[in-house]
Amino acid sequence: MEAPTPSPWVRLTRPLRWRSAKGTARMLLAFARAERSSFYDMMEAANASADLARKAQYVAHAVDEARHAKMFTLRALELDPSRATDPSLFHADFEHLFTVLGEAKFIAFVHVGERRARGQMQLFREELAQLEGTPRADTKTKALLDAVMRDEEQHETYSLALSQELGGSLGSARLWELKRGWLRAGATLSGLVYTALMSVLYVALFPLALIEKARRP
Amino acid sequence: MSAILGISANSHDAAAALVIDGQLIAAMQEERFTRIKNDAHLPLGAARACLAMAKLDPRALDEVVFYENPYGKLERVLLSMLRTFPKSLRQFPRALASQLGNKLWVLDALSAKLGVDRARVTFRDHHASHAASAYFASPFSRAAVLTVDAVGEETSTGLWLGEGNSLTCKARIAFPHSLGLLYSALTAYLGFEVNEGEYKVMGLAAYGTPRFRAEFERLIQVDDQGFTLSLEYFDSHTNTEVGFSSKLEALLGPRRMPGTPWRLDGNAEDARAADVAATLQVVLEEALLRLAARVKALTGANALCLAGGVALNAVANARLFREAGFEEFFVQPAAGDAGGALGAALLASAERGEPRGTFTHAAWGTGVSGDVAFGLATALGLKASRLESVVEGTVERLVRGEVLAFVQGRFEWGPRALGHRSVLALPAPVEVKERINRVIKRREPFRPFAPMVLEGAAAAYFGAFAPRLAPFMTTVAEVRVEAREKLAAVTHVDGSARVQTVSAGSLCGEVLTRVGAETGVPVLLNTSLNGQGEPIVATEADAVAFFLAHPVDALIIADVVISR
Ligand SMILES: [Fe+2]
Ligand SMILES: [Fe+2]
Ligand SMILES: [Fe+2]
Repeated sequence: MEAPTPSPWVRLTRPLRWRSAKGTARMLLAFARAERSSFYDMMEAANASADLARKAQYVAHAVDEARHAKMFTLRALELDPSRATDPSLFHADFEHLFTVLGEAKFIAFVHVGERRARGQMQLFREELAQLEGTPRADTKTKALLDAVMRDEEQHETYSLALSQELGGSLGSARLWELKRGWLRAGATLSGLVYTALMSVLYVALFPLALIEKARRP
Repeated sequence: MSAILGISANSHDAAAALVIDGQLIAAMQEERFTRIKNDAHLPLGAARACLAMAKLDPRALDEVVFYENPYGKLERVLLSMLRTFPKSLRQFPRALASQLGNKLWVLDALSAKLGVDRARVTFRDHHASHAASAYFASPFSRAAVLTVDAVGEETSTGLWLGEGNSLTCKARIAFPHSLGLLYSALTAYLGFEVNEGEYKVMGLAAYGTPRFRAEFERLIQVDDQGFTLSLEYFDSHTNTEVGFSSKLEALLGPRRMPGTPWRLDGNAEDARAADVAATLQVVLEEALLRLAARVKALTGANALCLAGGVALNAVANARLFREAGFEEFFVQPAAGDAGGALGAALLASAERGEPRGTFTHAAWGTGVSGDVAFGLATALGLKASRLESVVEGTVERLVRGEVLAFVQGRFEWGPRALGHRSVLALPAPVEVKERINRVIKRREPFRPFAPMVLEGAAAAYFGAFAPRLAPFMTTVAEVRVEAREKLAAVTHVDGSARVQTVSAGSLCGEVLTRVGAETGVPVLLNTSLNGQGEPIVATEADAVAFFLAHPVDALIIADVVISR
């Protein structure tokens, strides 16, 4: 299957990825986080689905994603050992997509996500191929991407077939994803506004702090 | 008739527990459902699973009890922010957001998400929930109760009297003076993850000598009332995540960087880390002994119950059993904050005058089905077959030297796997341990594996231990010198072992009896069934996923064996 073209933004950030080991590590950790999120969702699907054939497909998919997450993390730590101290190293979102979306829409969404991820990996893989023979060549990361992409292609294929079988619509999965992106951007923005407001409030608490310190030094 | 659901959430390790007419029906941690280790989110998966176990509609619940006072906690956070003004500027927005964002509204959220009338959602105090989780689960009708953790609303340490259906607080020590925070500050200092690495600190202590006594005397002063921390060494009043200040590094030397590989065979820095851990362990034990003496004086009871995160320290529990001077001693396996869910439910139940039940086993989770396991394995193209006898099939493989994933019945309550979701193997030779460490657990070299022993045979292999703790693996015992070679894979470097006793009548008991008949030693190595950084397996699918990712020789789920 042909991989989709990643967004222009992904192309524009290219220098950040390969200029330094730290930049590459950051990118790999972002992949690891996405893989881990996908693991949680696939395990939820495996545990919730009563159909044994689908349960099996979801388990196999989850195991792949856990392995990918581990491989990306290990490679990232090789490139940038200082990330080992990051307390959020193993954190990832879990949005309970199977429960939220229902099985048909969930698996359509999985397909859309897998396809986009593979598109990105494909691009990074090509960028790495171009660096071959230069001092910035990174054959280990390239081999890692090759191994992961073989699995991703299989995820893409089975999720498409399953989505068609269950009557999930790829269009509405994409629409849902757009809406989620919009809500997330809004949350980030309001988070920034909130932090600013609270910092002002904190300074305004100064008199109270004096009283409290006088009460219990 | 009363049906009460206890809930703990929002700090770490969320859980739910269902008590009907005073009897525990189910108790489970949320991490087993989301697969996120120590998941602190509202435990909706666990709550629904508890209700499903009793076939109970949430609207039929008489009470949903949260394990702490959300308003009290907000007050403490705000006051400590004020006290550390202006240093707390950076923490303030985050702390307030985390309190106001979901913690303050937790009772409303529980009502809305579970579909229970808001008037039926209540709370009990954090330490009262801890105390109840130990006392009401114990078989005692009168007992002294010690609750020791990092911090609840404002209390870090509680001294209680449990009598019949009532619990009375006799004395308390307030935050920021806290043994839990001392322990977590040193856990972070030693480069481990707080709320997770505490076991590692305990294991590491066995490699060191407590040579930092003088330095620790500056950190913590132990006296007849309990203890006082020297706050300038800690940062916990502003930052509960790292919890130590640069002064601590000036006192004990530079902190250990997380993720650095351990070399305990001659590396001076790692030897120093082990000595710090050893000193911490001894100081903790002495502080606990003082507290135990005080609670004994306050209550005059001859039985002691212990709860709170500090009660997960099995080595300290063993010392309390030996030296605290109580005839009876009980520690329930989910002694940490997850246990608060159990305690809150048992406390509310006791207040209603319901009869008390006794906590005789830990299998309060959901079960597994052989049919599902077999169907799943077959669909995945794995080699699966049904066993005529689970005991015989298991023993045959173990005796051959195989490392088995073993999944039977309902999963365990609390952080220990007790033979329902375990990896099992023979307890010797020592290479077994190395194999499990290398391919399955990837643990630090100083983390020991635990033995499971047939109750009647325990005395032949181990020195004295607390008999009410050993079934739940909340204590340690000395391995008899003459038995150490036979138990090479489960004996810690200091000759101790975190022993679990199993009664002959249970499935594991039958396995141990048959293993004893075959090998002469009714002991097995037992470690929890989970990958590195993952929660213990709950379902058939979790177990099969484990099997696909880890090279154990076989997986036995109910009567199904899946092999390579
Ligand atoms: Fe993947
Ligand atoms: Fe994938
Ligand atoms: Fe606690």
